[in-house]
Amino acid sequence: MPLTAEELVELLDLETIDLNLFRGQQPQTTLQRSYGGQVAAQALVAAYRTAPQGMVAHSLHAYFLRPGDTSAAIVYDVDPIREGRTFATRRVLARQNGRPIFTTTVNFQTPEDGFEHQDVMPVVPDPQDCVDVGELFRREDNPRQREWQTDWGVIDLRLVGDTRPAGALLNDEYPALARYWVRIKGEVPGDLPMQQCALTYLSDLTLLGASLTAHDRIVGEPDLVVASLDHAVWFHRPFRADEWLLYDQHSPTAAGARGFSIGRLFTQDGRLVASAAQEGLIRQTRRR
Amino acid sequence: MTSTVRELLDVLTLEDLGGDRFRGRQVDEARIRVFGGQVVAQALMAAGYTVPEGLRAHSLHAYFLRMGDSTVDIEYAVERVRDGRSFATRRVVAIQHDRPIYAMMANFHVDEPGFEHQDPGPAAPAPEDCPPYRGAMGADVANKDWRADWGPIEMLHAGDTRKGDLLEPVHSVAEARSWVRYDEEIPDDPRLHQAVLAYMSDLTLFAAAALPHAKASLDSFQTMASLDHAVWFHRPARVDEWLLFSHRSPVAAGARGLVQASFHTRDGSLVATVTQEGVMRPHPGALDGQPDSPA
Repeated sequence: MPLTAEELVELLDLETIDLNLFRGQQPQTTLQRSYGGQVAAQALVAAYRTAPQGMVAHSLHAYFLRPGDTSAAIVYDVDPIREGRTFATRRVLARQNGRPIFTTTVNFQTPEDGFEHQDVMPVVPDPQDCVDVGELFRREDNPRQREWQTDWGVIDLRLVGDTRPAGALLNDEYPALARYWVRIKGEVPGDLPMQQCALTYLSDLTLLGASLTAHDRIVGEPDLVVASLDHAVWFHRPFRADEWLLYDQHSPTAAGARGFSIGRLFTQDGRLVASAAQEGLIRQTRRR
Repeated sequence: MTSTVRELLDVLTLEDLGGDRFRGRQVDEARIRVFGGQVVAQALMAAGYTVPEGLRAHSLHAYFLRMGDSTVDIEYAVERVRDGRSFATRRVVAIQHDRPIYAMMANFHVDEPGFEHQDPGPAAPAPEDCPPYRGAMGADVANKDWRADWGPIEMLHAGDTRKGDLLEPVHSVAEARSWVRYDEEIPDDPRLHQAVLAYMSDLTLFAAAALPHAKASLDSFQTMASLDHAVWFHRPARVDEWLLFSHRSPVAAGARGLVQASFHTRDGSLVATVTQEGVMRPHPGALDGQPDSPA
């Protein structure tokens, strides 16, 4: 997986095979299956390649269908399902060996102005004062130590707190909260579309984990099967993915072996720039 | 829109055209465009027809693509995207005049035990103590048109963040709570209850995004239309019993507003989450005086 912003940009540079048909390469990885954020980000790039000039993505809704094979390239097939005056819609089907592994629909809009309001950003410590998750995981004898050394290098992740026992966000009301500062390390070149693709890459990494904080568990524990089922992102306002974003995560519920999380992404100066939602399978396979 | 339970059940019983295609009836030809909740509910029924017994819908994600025509039936084409051991995925496209008006993905899952947690239900007065619903956008249960349009759907006002109302706009400037139920018995088919929940979820959802714009009324908006719709069904629920429908709009920008909402049973069980983004385009001049208005 990309360790630098340059490698991330390279990963997101798809090869054009034919009209509305693109190929994404696989990075070097120790992961068992493709990272969902990579597939979602490459799919957004594919959708952008076919989008009308000047339009900007404002939402995507995706389903993960099968585990991605990390040794095979992914083909992205784009269906332009609507060409409107102010909105355009693209459906992207990601395939490997002829079988769909992922599908997303992306909606684009010609930027316009309108009524404005937003939630107040939670009061949190600065990123510099928060635990550097990558550093911590790389150092400790951690089940995810290896992947933090080889796979997540481009992601700068600082834990503000969560609701595990002794967690900074433990409270009497909400059982599952987690907050992180996130950004891409280095400089992500380009304007808003590229920043959105980079944010999509980031957005899948920690979100489902918020639902496990209520059960004092973390993704990567050997008796847990954790897999994203769907993923949605709404882009509200312009931002940069290489500047700090507060990823405020809340899991309202888990039931039926599925955890559900909602996330809000704020810039450091308090602008709510994106939201995300994800449901995932959280299955316990045997006694701890 | 359906004004009797008979009409609602007719709308939710699709005709099988063969080859995973289904026809959904229209009952209301007076309205110019089709009610979005009806399309969501019919599409969910169509997907369900193609899924083995024992699998239950747990999520759907949809985009509204074109305005529906209420004078002709809607055809639903289902694609079997995945049939796994414990999950099944369906794509449904709703078609009128040979063009897609709506595209939806829905996922189905077997009943599986696992980790359980949930937020406590939001505080709200009991249904017995709530007045009829009066929405931000002029929809009003006391209005005679409500009965004609929505029939047995009962809705009560349990507080919102408008000035003088029950909720203080502290962390969120746009919150609204209402009690909702279908005031006729719906048959014991879980798929029907999910479809009716989806139907009702589109009724007042997007109005929450207009709440903070104090003088906002239908007249302030040139366009008010749903763009997408997503539902997560967490636990089984009956829609002919009271559900607390709690709306919140975390953000509006770029002529769009996002709304997130939840359904809790009276005893506090969180049964579903809904999200919707819509376009709310002000009339020229309506933004004057707004702090961030691009004057």
